[in-house]
Amino acid sequence: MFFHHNCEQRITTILRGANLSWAARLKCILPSETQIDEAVRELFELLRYQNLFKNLVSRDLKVRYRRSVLGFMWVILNPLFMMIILYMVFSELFHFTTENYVAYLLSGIIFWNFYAQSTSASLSSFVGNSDLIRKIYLPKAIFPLSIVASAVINFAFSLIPLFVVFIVTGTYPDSRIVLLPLFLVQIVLFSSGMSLILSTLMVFFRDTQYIYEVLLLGWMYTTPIFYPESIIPYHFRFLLYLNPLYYFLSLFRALVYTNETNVLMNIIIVTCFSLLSFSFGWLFYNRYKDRLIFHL
Amino acid sequence: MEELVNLTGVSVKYRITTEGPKTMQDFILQRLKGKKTQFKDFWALKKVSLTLQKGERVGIVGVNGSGKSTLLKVIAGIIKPTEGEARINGVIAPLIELGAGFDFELTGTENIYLNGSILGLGKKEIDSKLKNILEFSELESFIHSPLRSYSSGMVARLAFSIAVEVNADILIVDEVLSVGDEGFRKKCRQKIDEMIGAGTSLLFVSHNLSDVQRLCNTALWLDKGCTVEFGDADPVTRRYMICFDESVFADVPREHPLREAIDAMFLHGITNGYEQDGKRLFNPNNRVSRTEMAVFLARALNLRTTKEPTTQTFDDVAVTHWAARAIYALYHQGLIDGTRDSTGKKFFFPHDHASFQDILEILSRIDEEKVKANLAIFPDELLTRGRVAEMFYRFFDYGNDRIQLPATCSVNRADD
Repeated sequence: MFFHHNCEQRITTILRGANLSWAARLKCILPSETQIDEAVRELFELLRYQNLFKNLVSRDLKVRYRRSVLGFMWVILNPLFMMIILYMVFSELFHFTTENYVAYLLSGIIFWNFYAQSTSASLSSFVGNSDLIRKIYLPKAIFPLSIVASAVINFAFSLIPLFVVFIVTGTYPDSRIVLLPLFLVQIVLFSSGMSLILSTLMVFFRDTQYIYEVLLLGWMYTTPIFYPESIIPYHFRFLLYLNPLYYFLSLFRALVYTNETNVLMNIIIVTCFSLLSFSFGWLFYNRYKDRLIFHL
Repeated sequence: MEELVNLTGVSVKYRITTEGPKTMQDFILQRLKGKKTQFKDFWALKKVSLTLQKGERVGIVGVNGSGKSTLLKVIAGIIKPTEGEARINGVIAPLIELGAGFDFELTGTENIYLNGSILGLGKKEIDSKLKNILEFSELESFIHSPLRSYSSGMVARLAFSIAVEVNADILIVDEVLSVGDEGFRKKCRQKIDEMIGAGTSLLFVSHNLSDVQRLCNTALWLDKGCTVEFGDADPVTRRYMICFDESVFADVPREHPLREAIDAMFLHGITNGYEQDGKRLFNPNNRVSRTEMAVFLARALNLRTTKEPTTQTFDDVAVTHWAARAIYALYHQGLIDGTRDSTGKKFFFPHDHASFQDILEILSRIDEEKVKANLAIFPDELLTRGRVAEMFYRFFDYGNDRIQLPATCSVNRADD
């Protein structure tokens, strides 16, 4: 059973346009006081298990590169290689329209890698750790959140090749680079929210994985990773403006090399998206977390 | 007394969907069509209540499928109750799912830190306990190899060593502690006994009822999710055994004419039989010594709580005799006199065989009418243990103590 029993009928009637008061409809969807209470308590539980959190992150980092030849170097080499390939493919098309196409491409790649990896990997984190969840008590959110954490660490390391590229091409970021940590917090919040929703959904609906794969593919194309914004004709531009990641990526590029001045609007939008995503994700997870075990 | 675990009216419902959406696609289609999911509710626990004080040891008995593991999961916090309240006030060390979260790619030490953190320990705590864990598990030389290279016994030993180092208030133990070889198993048992001795509370799930009787002070008997009984470990486990064992005594099968009488002796704690090769025997055809007779009577009359005797009334029964308490209790109740010889000394003749007359005489002193009514039919042949059981059965009306299992457990709500 996915939705709370009483709400089922109401949601069906909403979809059929029946006459229900908005108050009644909202009551079903918004969290009750006890649920908010529970959500806050779960945050404290995560704090209590911070040692485990750190262990999960370090385990993920260790295991990922332990048996590979180049080890941790892959964090740096992977985006670099990808950039080289995409540069060779697209530079002829976009080289003249974009200033410093290399930096544009690389920043797009490492940002997208972070988002795509953190959400895809954490999507199956509950299902993948079902053994553990069934055996012992844990605040389950620790799984998707630790994956987001290790993804952001990878992201931070992959900034190294980016700065190497800057040195080579002669572009330097200005003082607003100090806002970068704040940006990291924003993307962590945004990705965490999405991860919590996806991992919870995956427990109830095992095709979430496939749906998200396709969604992610489409999403990638509506984010200006390897093409400049100007390429998109005006009447399709709205697709970019509806995409939250568009704003994240623009902000990232602005902070890191383009040195655009009017980023305030961008920052506001990004903050809204990240707070919305995290609140919704956290409340969503908390509403269904006690039912997860019955489906694992 | 501090209450560590308090379950009130806990019920757990598993909802089994017989026809429901398994994919997102199905879900949306179903909602649009207004179709409802078909499901069946299964109540694994029905209004179970349980309290565990600090230092208390509770045994949980029941057939497979009675809800024992669900109960443990509720206590461990893995499952939240559908109804009722579960309050847990302490650190739990579940010795049932050992090695949860072990990653076989990591080394022994790394796994100690990982497993320790899963059990709720902080890094500094694990640092201080590391030496103890390594010593206990006897794995010093292997600790830097990945877990892949360990044998299953080694993995189990490591897991157990970590779990016992958690300063738990509550130990949850499954009887299936078959870790490692006999030597290590003994170490495990000793360690658990040590922890219990130090005042750790215990939740013990077992089918081995003599273990439950030995280790626990109270017991909870579950059947089909309901509490059948919750009380002192000894009587509860006895009743459970009568209900479910093929026969309590291996040498007294169902067809034995005196089975009911002998089972009643067991039920009332008068005898436990002899354990031999893991089987419980009664030896119904053995003769009964006067000492044994005295012990049976004392237990039947609930005289076992009397103090140690101080004066030696019978010349042949020292105060240190293993049955002295029973014999002297009967004497002080005026039920036996012994025999006086010419020098004035009293004798009991503890090693002689008891006869029907002996018992009849003692029982007459308790209730002469009853003896005349119920026991007059006994021929004066040799008294065997089986016959003693029969006499007690008739005299003490054990036939009236029927054990009933609750037919159904009522759950006071309409099914969702």
